Formats: sequence, C-alpha cells, structure tokens
Amino acid sequence: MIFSSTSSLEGRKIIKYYGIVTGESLIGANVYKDLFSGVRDVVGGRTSKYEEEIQQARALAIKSMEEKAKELGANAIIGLKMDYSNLGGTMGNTILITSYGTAVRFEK
Amino acid sequence: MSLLDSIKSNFYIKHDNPKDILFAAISILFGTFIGVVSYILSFKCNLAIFGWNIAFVLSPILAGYCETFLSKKIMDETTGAISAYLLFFVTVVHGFILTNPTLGFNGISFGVSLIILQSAFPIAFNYLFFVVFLGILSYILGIFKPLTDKLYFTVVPFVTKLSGREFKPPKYKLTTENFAQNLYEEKNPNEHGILFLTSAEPYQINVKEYIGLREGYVVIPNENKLFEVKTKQEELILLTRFKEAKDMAIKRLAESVKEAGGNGVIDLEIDYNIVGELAGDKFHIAAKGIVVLFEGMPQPR
Repeated sequence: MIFSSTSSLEGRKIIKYYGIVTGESLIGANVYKDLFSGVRDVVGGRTSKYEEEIQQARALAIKSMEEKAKELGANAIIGLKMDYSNLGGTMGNTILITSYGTAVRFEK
Repeated sequence: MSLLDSIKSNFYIKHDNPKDILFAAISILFGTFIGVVSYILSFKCNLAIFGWNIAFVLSPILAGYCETFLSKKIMDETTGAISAYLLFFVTVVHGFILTNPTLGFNGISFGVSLIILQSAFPIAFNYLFFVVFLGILSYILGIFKPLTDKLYFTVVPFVTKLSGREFKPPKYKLTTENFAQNLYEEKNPNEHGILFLTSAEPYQINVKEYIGLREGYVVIPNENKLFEVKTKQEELILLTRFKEAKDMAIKRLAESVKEAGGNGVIDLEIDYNIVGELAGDKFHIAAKGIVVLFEGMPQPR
C-alpha cells in the first residue's frame, strides 16, 4: 500500500478511484500518564509518554484507514491528510487523531 | 526587599519614620505584656470552663485589643495585632505542650501554628499552601478519583436498584445515553453515488464542470460540562460517536452535491472543531469540498 499526500503517483497510472477512506483514534484515557506528564510540564523535559501515545494513536488511525482501502480493493491512498483535534476543551486531555485520503488502484 | 521592608509591609507600618517604628514596637510589647499577664492570672486563679482555661481564647484577644488600642491612640494606625499571634504561640506551647502534654500537638495547636505562620510570612505561606500543597493534593486526588468513581458506579446503581428506583449517572460521566444519542450508524460514505476525492487536482479523470463549495456538518451538543475521557469504555463511546458524526456529515454533503447537480467532490476536507468552551463544549464536525461534475461518470439521482 502506497500512502501519498499528493494528487497523483508519479510514473504510475491510476486505473480506479474508490473514494474516501478514513481512520480515527483517540488519546486520553490514562490518568497516570496525565499525572506524570503534568509533573514533567512543571519540572521541564520531554513528555516522552505522550509522544509514545501519539505515535501509537497515529499508527492505529492509519492502520484502520489502510484496512478499509484494502477491503475496497485499492493499492494506494493519495491526497492523504492527517489531523489532530483537541476535544478536551477547557479540560484539554483528549486528542482525536484522524487520517483520511482517497483510495485508488494503480497499474503496476 | 529588605527584611525591614518585609516586616513593614506585613505589619501595616507604612511610614519610614523611626519614631513610628518605635511606637509600633511599644504597642506590640504592651499588647504582649497584657496578654501574658492575663494568661498567668487566669492560670493562677484557675479560670476554667469544662476543664479548659479561658485564657487560651481570651489572652490572645485581649493582647490584640490592647495593642490595637494603644497604637491607634499614639500612631492613629493599627499594627496588625501581632501580639495576638504571639499569645497564640505562647498558649499553644505552654497550655497544650508544657502543662498538658496529654493533649500534645493536636489539631487545634497545628491549626494555630498555621495561622501564626500565615501571619508572619503571608506571601510565602500562601504560595506554599494554596499553590504547592493544594497542587500536590489535586495530583494525588487525580490518582484516587478513578478508584472512587469505580466504587460509586458499583455501589450506587446497586443500592438504587434495591430501592426500586432508576439509576441516573451524573452528567460528567460519558455514556451512550447522555452523549450525542441522536446520532446513528450511517452507511459507507462511498455508497452515496458520489465520488469523494481528497486531492485537489483529479488525475486521469476529467472535470466537466466546477459547481462550487458545499458543506455537510453535524453539531454534537455536549451536556458534560467537565468533559474528560478517563476510561477505555468512554474512549470507545466518544470515538464511535465521532465516526457516526463524520459519516452523517459526509452523507449531508452528498445530499448537497446531488441537489447541486454534481457527481463528485474534490479537495474534500473533514474538520473536527470544538465550540462553546466554558459555556459547554459543542462539537462541530464538517465535511466540505468543491463539488464537480466528472466526465464519463453517471449523474446521481
């Protein structure tokens, strides 16, 4: 599966457009993680636990999108977009990660 | 700020005049003297009510009153009843620790000590207490809250059921009943007969006509003022609701595309926004893009 944020795939001919595929994941259900990242916010330093969580959540969103594209019969996703939305509002501990793109089939 | 400045600002002495400082010192000493004398007399005469010597309460008050009275007379200004705090200290050390060690360092003496410290070092004490101590406490409660939540949601529904009533979960707890229950599962966004492309420049597919920007959106009202996702179950509810909302927004966009006479959307974007903030969070999920008519594709009806 090729992932590309471009509108086309250089040197490859797209033979079918399947339409939009999406993947979502969420961060925010771990109070212990919040506690220690809060402490690190005070004392400084990298909140590596959060970084790890974000990486995992991003991978999950992309995997979910990829599975949907495979089900449709696509072998690439073009026009790929990723978005991070803070849903926590004033509380600010919930992040929604979304990825979406156009599932296509190109000639190999 | 020097120590003297600090004492001046703490004890309400606003003048640099050494005479004022001398008068203030005399007032404090006078108040303290009266307080100590009254304390000794009260002990000697055993002025006790239910075993409690009234000097514990009266001596600090008397000391503060006498000090203020004198400072008002000679300076036309108050010195902040410092002798009252000194007397509190005397009564705690003498009354609770030296003469009656069985009482020891109890809650009252601890509270009084805090008051004395607060009066002596207001800024430092307030910072340590209100910022540092309460900050640490809130973190600790952050650990214990899931445990108390678990206990609450186990015991209270059970007791409510036993009493024959219906259990209504509090609004801060995210459930399928109190969050976005008007949403429903929508079919696959690609089954509406519209070709959705996230790319802005369709490649190897011709656009016959550009119709314009269209948008489909869904607003999720949120009654949960304290919006916080703490458990995996809540996380799943929220994620499912957002997926449903996104599919509904795309469906509404598809309807708008059909109305406009198009058969495709290019440069499709999906936005998740939060609006309202302190007044109550609302979620605005929008799918928007440029409606086009692709060549060689059937026009949806």
